[in-house]
Amino acid sequence: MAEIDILHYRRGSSKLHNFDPRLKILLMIAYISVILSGSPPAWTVTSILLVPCSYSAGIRLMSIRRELKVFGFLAAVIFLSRAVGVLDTGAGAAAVTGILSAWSFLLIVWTGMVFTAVMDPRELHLLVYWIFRPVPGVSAGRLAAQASFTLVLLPLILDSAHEIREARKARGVELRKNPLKRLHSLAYPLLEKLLLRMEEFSLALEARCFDEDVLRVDFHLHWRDTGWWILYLFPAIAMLSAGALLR
Amino acid sequence: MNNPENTPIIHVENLSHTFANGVRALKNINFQARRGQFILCTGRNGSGKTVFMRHLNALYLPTEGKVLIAGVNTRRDQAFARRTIGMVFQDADSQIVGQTVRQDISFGPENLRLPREEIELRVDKALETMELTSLADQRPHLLSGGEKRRLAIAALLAMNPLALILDEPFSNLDYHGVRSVLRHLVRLHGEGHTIILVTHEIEKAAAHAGRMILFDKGSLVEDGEPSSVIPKVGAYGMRPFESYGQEIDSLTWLK
Repeated sequence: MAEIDILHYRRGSSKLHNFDPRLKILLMIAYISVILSGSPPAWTVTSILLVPCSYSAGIRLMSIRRELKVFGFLAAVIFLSRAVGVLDTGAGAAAVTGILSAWSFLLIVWTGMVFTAVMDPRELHLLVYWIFRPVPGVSAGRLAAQASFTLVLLPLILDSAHEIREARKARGVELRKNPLKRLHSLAYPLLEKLLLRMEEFSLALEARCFDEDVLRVDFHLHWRDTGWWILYLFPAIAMLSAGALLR
Repeated sequence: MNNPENTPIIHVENLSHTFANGVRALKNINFQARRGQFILCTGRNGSGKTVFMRHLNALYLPTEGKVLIAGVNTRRDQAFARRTIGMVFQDADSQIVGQTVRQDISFGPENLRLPREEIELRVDKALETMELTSLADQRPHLLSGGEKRRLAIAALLAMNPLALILDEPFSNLDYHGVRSVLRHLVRLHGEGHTIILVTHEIEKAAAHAGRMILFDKGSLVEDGEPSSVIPKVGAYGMRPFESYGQEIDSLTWLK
C-alpha cells in the first residue's frame, strides 16, 4: 500500500526531537499564534524558519510539497471563499486576500506536520497527563490516551481515505457531476471503515492489557538545550509582538 | 491437591454467546487445551471461530456457560486472561500502537507495569526470537505483511503468555510471508509454547498440528487428530480433503 507520509512521528535525535514536550507544544502555539496574527511579513519569516525546522524534523522539502498537495483542495476552497467574499474591493485585492488566507492555512498545516514529526505520541500522552492531572474531576489518563492515540491513528485515517478515493476513481466517480453524491460516496465508506478499525484497535488495546495511567516516558528538560529553545522561540515571540503592533 | 501443571490452560464449559441483536454466534461449546499443544481451529467464514477465540482472551464474555483460563474464570478476572492468553488479530495493522517496532513490543509489558530493565530484557528477547532485531527502530507501518505478523507475535511473547492464539495469521501474505510466519510458529511450539492457530487454509499448516477442531454454524462439530478431522471438512462447506491430492503429513508450506 502506498502509505501517505504525512502527520507521522519520525524517530530522530535532532535538537527539535530532543526538546522537552512542554517546549515543543509551546513552540507550536507560538508559531500558530504568529500565523493567526495575520501579518504577511511575519508569515514570510515563519515560512523561512519552518524550512530548518522541517529539516531538523527529518522532513524533506520535496516531500512537504508533495504532501501539501493533499491539502491543496482545501486551500483552493479557502482561496475562493475568501476572494469571493471581498470581490467588491476589486479583483486584484480579492485575489491577494484569497492567496494570503490559503497561505496561512498551508502554514498551519506545515507547522502541524513538523510538530507531529517530532512529537512522539508517548510524549504527547505525558504532556496531556501533566496538564490535566491537577484539574479536579478530569481523568487525565483517559484524556492523555485519547490525545496520543489520535496522533497514532491520524495517518491510518488518511491512508484509509486515500484507499477509498483510489477505489472510487477506479469505478469512475469522476463521471458523476453532483459533488454531494461524490462526497457521500467517500464519506459513508470512510466512516464505516473507520468505525470498524477503531473497534479492532480498541479490542487490540484490551488484549494487550492497556492501562491508561501508565506513563511510558519522562520529561527531560536539560539546561544545555536552553540556548536552542531560545533560538527557536525568540523569533516566534518577536514576530508575534511585531504582528500585534502592526495590526 | 491440584497440580497446576495438570490444570488445563483453557477450560470451556457449555459456552454460548448471543449478541445484542439476537444472533446466536456460539452454541454450547465444550473444549479444553493443555500446555504445549498445537491446535488448528478451522471452519467456514462466519462459523464462530473468531468469536470463540475472543472469549479465551476475555474480549467477549459468555452469555451462558463459563471459560476458565488456568483455572480462573474470565468473568472474575479479565486482566488475568489477557495476560495469560496472547492473541494476534487478523488485521495486523489494527494492532500496532507503537511508533517503532521496539516501542510497539514494549507496549504490553509497560501495561503490566514491569520494571524498565525487565521490559528491555523482554523486548530484546522477543525481537531476537522473531528475527526483528535489525528492524527495531523501523516504523511498523512500513514493514511487510509477514514482518507485521511477526511483530504482532513478538509483542505477545514480550508479555510471556501461556498460550498464543493466532487468528488467520496467513491472510493477505505472500508465499514467503506465510513460510516465515509458519517457520516461527513451529519453532515456538518446539520450544514449548501452546499454539492455537485459527485458519481456513488448512493446507498451509495442518501437518504441524497435533489436534484439530472444526466449527460450523456456531457449534464445535469435530475435535480430534488432524488425520480424523481433515477427511470430514468437505461435509462442512470447506475445500474437500480429496482435492488437495496430498497426504495429511504433507499439508504444510514449509516443504
